[in-house]
Amino acid sequence: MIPDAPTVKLQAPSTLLRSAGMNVDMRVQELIHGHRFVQEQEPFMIVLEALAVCADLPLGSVQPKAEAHETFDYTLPHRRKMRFLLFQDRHLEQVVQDRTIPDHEKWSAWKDRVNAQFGEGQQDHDSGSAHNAFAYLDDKFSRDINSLHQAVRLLQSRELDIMHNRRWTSRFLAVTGPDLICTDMREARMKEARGSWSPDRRFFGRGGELVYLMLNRSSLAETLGCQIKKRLLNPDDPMNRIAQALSDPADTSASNSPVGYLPYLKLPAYDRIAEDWLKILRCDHLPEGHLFEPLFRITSLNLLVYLAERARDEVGEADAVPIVADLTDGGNSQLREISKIHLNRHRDEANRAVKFFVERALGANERWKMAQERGDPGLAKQAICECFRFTKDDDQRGNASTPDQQLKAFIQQAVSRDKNNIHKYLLPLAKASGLATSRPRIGTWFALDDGMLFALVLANVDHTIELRDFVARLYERYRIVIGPEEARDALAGRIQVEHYEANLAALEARMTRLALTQRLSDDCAFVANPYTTGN
Amino acid sequence: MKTNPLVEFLASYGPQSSSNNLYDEFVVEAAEKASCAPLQFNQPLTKELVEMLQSAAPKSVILTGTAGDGKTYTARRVAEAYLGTTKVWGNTEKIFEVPPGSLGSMSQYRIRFIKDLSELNEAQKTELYPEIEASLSGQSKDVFVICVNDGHLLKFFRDRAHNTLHDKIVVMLREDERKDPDGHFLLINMSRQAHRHLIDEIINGVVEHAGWAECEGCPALKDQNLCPIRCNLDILRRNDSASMRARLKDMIRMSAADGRHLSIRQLILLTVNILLGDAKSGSTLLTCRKAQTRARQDEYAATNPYANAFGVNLNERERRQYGAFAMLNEFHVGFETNNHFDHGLLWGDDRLPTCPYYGERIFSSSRDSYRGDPNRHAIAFQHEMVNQRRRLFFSINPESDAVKANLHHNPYNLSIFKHGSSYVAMVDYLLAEGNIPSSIAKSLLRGLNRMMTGEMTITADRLWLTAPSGVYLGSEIPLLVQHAGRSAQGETLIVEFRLANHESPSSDNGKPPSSDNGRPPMIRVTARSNKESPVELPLRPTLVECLLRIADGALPASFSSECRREIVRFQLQVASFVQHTFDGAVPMPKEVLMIEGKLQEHPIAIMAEGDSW
Repeated sequence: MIPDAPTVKLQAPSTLLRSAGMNVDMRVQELIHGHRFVQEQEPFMIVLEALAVCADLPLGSVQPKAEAHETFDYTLPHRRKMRFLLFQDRHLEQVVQDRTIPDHEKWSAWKDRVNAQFGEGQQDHDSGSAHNAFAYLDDKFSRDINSLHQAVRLLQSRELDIMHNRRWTSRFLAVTGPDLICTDMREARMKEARGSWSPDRRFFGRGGELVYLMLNRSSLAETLGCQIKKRLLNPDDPMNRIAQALSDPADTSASNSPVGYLPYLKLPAYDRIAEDWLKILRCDHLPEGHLFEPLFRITSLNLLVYLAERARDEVGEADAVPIVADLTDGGNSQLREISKIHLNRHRDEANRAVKFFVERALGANERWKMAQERGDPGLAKQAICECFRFTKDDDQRGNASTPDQQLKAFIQQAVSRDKNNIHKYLLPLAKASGLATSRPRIGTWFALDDGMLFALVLANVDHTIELRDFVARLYERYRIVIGPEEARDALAGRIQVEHYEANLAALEARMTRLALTQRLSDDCAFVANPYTTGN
Repeated sequence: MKTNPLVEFLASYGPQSSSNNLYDEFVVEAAEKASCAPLQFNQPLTKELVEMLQSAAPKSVILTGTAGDGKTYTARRVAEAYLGTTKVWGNTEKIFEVPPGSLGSMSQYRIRFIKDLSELNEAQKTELYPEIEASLSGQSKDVFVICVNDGHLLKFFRDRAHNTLHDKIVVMLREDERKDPDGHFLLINMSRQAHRHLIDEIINGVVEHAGWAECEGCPALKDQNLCPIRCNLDILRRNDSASMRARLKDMIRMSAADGRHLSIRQLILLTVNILLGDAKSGSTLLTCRKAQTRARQDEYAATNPYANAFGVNLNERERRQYGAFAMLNEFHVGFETNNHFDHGLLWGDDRLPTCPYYGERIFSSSRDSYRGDPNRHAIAFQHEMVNQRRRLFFSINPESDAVKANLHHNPYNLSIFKHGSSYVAMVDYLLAEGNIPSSIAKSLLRGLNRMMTGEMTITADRLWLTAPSGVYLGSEIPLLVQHAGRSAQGETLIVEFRLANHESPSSDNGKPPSSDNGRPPMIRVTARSNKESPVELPLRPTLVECLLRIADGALPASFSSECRREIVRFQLQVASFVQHTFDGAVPMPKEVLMIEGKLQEHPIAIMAEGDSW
């Protein structure tokens, strides 16, 4: 493989990629950057998933080893009754508003209706508990329907991304405590298992597991584990206590899941994302509820940089493709164009990485060499199957095809697959995290939105620094190009300085509106993080 | 015909590409050429610095600030006053040295004036560096007076890896500290001078210039069509509350508080343009000859000072190039209005002020044609209306009884800062008495409560400090963190209105602060038990406008996003302040509901009273 491998490459656990549930049709991207990233998993869900793993196994509790990839299962609690009360119960609001029911009868009136509705959902399944499923609320709320209504209302206001009307088993709460973690679940409709829950990989596609593994393999794993517990998984958080009150202590049903596959043991990218998480979590003047958004934005940026660096290593280049960020909101059309070209370069680089990886892997395969020497299609097919566990689509790689044709066809398959295809994943990743924007007839280009700027300041500024140092740091850390100095370095001198100067001025104007910069004179501005004690 | 050389001399300060006088180096030369005395401004700083240099222990001084703030001008005046003679410091000399004990100097130390540190080449800087460093860290008695903008100053130390001085200066710059904590040097930020006093000084310097006496005997002075330069001079000379100067002072002060600083250079340029601006095509500024032509042909519309203030005699590109016009245009004066003013202008209203040259005289013809045929003359008429509204804006006293009796008569209705006079009144009250009128305080609290709770409440007796939930793309239901009231209300959190006074934070002995450093006043929240590390919300004019409009009813959405962010940041700071201040006994958050316009709090029932988090 890569001559100067940056780190130890771990073998995928033998069962992991093969198990039926994993649905892996080939092992290409899996071996380049891990298993796996899917478009449906929006960046914020990646952090939710990572936190779900943290809640079960705090960072640092599983030690990464050089000999073998981590193999552990983690537990995903269902919290079915709480989620039912929040997202499925139709009766609470009705009963509270209903003036025909006397106040003292409201509690039992609601209980009857909700038990019936809850029971419908799981006929023949665990029927004993469905009969009076919500009995545990009687004591906790002293049969006071108004305080229950208040608790439900408060917790409902913690739902993330409310404009997307997802099914009730895929609606999520903002996490400020362990009992607020809701993971993506699927409800069985088949008769025999009707109403039973199992983890769904649609929205929780394992991106969060990879982030967990990255953080856990960083040198900050334990420190970070403590900070996460203190700030995001604190059982005493007021919202968490409301969640506890709405949960049935006896309802311990949960599912287990094996963790995903992250190929490399150590990479600078892991320390970078861990440092960013730590900096954000240490903003002790930012209330807990406000940590999540910057966290998922910085996570997306880190993933984008990780993927670019992996591609760089596979292709064997010196530098990753830079992120030329337009801060003028498309106002400077030339800058926008350059930025768009770079976003496309990131996507092309992902495909090149696949091509290089496949060719290199086959180049080292004895069977493939033999197949090529003999021009033997059958042998070539075996070699591809051996290297990448690829068995599908035999029509396209018929026995008549030459090894070179098969190679070409296989690469084509790999770069056009649906899941875990970085070429397709980069656009939604960048757009959903505020790294890129798009407009009809223009396309998509790198442009940092306010939320991303805020995240960058939280993760990179603890003591007030000059704006130019901030911009230099963004380049050094993520290869984000904003000002002329960085552009000159990243784009090998062929730049028009005035565009980048305008860009820098636009950055400052944006940050000033966000109250993150302080300008002293026409020649000097500072960037401050108002939410740390270090300031 | 007579020409006054002063007019030509002043024009060289105006908005023209050849305006070399924008640079101190050329002022002396130009003044000589025009045989005029250079513009003189009364500047207490010069006196203070000379005395310091003449004292037994002179210190080095760094004069910093934005280009055009008068760093070099001040240094030159100091050098001249120190040696008691003019023309000692040659125009092109980058470093001017006064050896110890030299003629005129009383100091036994060597004093060096550096005109602009950034003009020195790297070799010169490196050569001087050890001496500057020694002086600033108290290791030598040599004295430097250095003019340099702050960015370059920091770079000077950063390039030479002197972190102690670099970091010290960073803190001093950010905190507006004048004195180095170790007492070795002064750092004076020329951008932090009281802006409204500056414009007064500058207008005085122009309108009271001795050179105006040269106009004596000019026939245009006696003509019934007065020379427009003299008309404008008369308008600028007025200094009462209904004068153009008073309104300009307020505008400049508001812009400074909003973070838009105007340098001395820009203020002079603005004054000159008001006086000499000429909108006749092909011309930018008046000369004596042009002025007389305009008077003869009754073309006062071209020399309107109320329009000149916004740079209408310039093209769009030029207007944007000069900060002064960009800044004043942000007030949108003349593009906002109400029925009182427009009806009065169209049909006549005795209560509106008149002007012999820039009122009826330039307005009546387009108004009459509009009245005759509105469709045909609408565009030209609207254009003239803007100028008339601007004239009214600059000539109505917002503090007069008539205006106070009817808010619609307030001239600020002609700008986007409809509550501009409340802002000015608030700052003046704070300067004079240390508190603000309770009607304004109540409106501000009501506006804040409305923004923080998202309810159109009328509650205004105390602040309902809520914390936004921060849920990503969620429904925003804020929870009450704590109330803050005035000291007498017995709340645990105290809210007060104060001036931002960074110069003497320690001298807090109940005396109202009196210095006006151009920074906006603050709403400050502290704990009753502990006055340390308060949370402050700077009441920038834009934010005040936003809050007062919300308190009144509603406001256009475009106004609010930036203000919204400032409020959110304030809320977050208060939330974390409460958490840190009440460590261990933090009150539980509560739900906020509104009943008949009044806010009510509801504890979260599931969490017993007295619980903390």
